[in-house]
Amino acid sequence: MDSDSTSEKSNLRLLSDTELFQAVATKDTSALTTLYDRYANLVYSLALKILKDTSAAEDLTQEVFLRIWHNPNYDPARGSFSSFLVTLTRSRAIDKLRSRNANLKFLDRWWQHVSNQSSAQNPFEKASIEERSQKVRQALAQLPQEQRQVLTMAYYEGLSQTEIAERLQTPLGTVKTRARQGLIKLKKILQDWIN
Amino acid sequence: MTDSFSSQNQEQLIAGYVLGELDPEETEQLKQLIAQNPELLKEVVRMQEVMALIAYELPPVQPPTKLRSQILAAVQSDQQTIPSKKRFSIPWGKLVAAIVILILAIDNYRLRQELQRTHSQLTSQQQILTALQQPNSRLVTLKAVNTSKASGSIIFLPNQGKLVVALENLSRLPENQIYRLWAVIDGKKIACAQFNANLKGKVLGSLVIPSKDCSLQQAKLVVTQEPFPSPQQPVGSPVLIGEPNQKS
Repeated sequence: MDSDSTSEKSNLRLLSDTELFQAVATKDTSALTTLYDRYANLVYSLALKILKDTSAAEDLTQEVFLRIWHNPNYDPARGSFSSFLVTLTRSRAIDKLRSRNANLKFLDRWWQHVSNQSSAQNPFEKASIEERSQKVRQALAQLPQEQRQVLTMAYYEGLSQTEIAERLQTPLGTVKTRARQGLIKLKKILQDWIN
Repeated sequence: MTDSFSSQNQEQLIAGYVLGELDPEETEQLKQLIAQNPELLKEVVRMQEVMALIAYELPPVQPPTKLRSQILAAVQSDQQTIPSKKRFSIPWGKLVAAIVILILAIDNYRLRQELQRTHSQLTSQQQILTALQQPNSRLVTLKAVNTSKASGSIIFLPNQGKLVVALENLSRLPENQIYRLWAVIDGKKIACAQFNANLKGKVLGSLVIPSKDCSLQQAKLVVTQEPFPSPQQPVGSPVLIGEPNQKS
């Protein structure tokens, strides 16, 4: 171990997610482990919730962090790092669960319009993980039960809205409206937290 | 047609997109709306942020402690591809070649496995040659603007959509500052990358090329020291400059 490794680690802990990511892109292993220490619980909890298997959740957590290392393609103009991490984890988990590979990336080419702009840090990035959890739980509690139910089924089970409609024996149009309204309402509740 | 689209409808479409369940007709509508008003992408970003925040409701579960060391071991074994003690004592050309091996290898998992299996230097050398012989690839040597000792190279590999940054003797910047790489063409400055130096003053890594203009042969490259978050155009002072390639 380097003699300066302790102070190096404590310095790294003070860095923002984006700064740590940039250090990871320059192959700084301490930056990767700092990001891991910050987000491994979130990534693993989400992977476990979706995959319902500890071994598969471990594999996916490893895959996600190694992917950040090998292919550091997070772009701050596209949103916060933690959003990138959650989206990556969730989509890989659902792909595994459903062996699906939906083409959800048609907007990719438009991103060049927003690229080259650094997005400012989101207010929630300044809060601790515990504070973020508390805020999100409070926000979700404000959603009508039926909206929350549909969102949760889509989010953690990767069910299509047709499948949700069948399972709930509810018209597809109603399921679609509930999911969208739920997400829009959540955005309104959390808007002070999103740039 | 789209004029009649209220902001409510737009919000519905964006929510549907983020939920991953737009039907083909709605997909087309959203594409057209964004073509007319690319600013809407910011709304997409906000909605994606909200979607991602949902995961925070989960009670945190700690992964087994061995996972952290496994990941660290995996990345450290990658790093040994370049012997760290010798890395900066070898000439830049060789360093750059070594980085290209590394980048090509880590960007392509199958290739990496193949390299590990066969230990074939020949294959990797051919990969470098192929990469550097691609008509669009470009190697630019950067020189310090002032009396600083900073130096290094940038390689553009447009066919991979990557640029490789290898710089040394740069000061590590505090949290509120960042280095940014610009391509300057006819006085126009295009942002191409941003990075900070590590604690040893080095920058080494591959990044996505954000704009085709970045890799143009006639572009002058400038690295500036900027505030972070950064404005769209440089306000800080240049640190390194790379001249345009000679036209052949």
